[in-house]
Amino acid sequence: MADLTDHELARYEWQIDTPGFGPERQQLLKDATVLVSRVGGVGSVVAYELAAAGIGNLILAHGGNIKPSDLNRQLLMTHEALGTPRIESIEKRLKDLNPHINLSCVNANINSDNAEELVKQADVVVDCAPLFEERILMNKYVVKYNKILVEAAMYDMDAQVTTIVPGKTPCLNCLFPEIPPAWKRKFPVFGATSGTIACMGALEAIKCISNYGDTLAGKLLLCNFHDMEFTKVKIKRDPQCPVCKHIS
Amino acid sequence: MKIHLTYMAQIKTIIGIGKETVEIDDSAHAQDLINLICDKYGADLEKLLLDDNKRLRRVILLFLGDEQCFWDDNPALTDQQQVTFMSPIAGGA
Repeated sequence: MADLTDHELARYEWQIDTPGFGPERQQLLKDATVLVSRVGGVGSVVAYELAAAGIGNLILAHGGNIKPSDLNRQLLMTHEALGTPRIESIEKRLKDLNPHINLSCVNANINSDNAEELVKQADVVVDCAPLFEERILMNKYVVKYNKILVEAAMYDMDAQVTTIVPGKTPCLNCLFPEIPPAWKRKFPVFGATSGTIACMGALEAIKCISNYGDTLAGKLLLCNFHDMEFTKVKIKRDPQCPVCKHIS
Repeated sequence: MKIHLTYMAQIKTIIGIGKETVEIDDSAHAQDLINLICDKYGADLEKLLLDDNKRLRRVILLFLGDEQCFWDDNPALTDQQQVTFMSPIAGGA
């Protein structure tokens, strides 16, 4: 039974009206906790969409200060906040949008000291990190605590998104069993590219939480934004995966 | 036979094109196709795709049609098949 306030019913009216959604699924969003890390080109838009949709509890992790080169894609950062901590700008912009949700803001990127505790608190993790080390770390604890992981990533004009359900789908370690040696921290990106895959990732999180529609569990959506081609492929669990082979 | 290839991410950057069709022996398997494109595009691509033992790196995603394929499976190819190679991406922040 939904326990939404009159304000919440009004605020989310246009999405509650989506056929088959309704106030009960909106209540599931309100009750949910989502971890987004990092909150940059992909994560900014993920967090903004989740805040707008009324996810009740957002955990946001991102370290460092705002640089000019952030501003073509990290849409929660502002010009006037250059040089200040990114997480302060993230918190302010999200509170401006929706002051009725709970934000837990961490002024650090995912690392071996904080990953387990942050993942453990979440129902869903949306992985928006620019380094495989951070992604693999979140995946490890997602599997350990049986959480859902939405993987959204891009490079240049290509992007991918999938949803990882431990024991049912490949985990990230099944797909990438080692740190890719050729991946570099700096990559070419338009904000519209990272923002588009971010919206798809946010929608996956919303659907997983509210049990609404079909998700990309076990499937990888490949996006070629240069030619506007989209392909959905099936991905396989690795029976030898040291992270998830023991669960079914 | 003809195989229709799609390249994504850093593979596409190195090769310089996103798609092409190649001719290969009718008896070819997936590993033959990988060897063919490594020979065609040279050391930079080979370094990205293959490890020191000349095996496809496990982080390279290979799809035959809409199905993921592991190097060890080495399935036979069929005429007019769609094959996609994708290098891992983590763009993010």
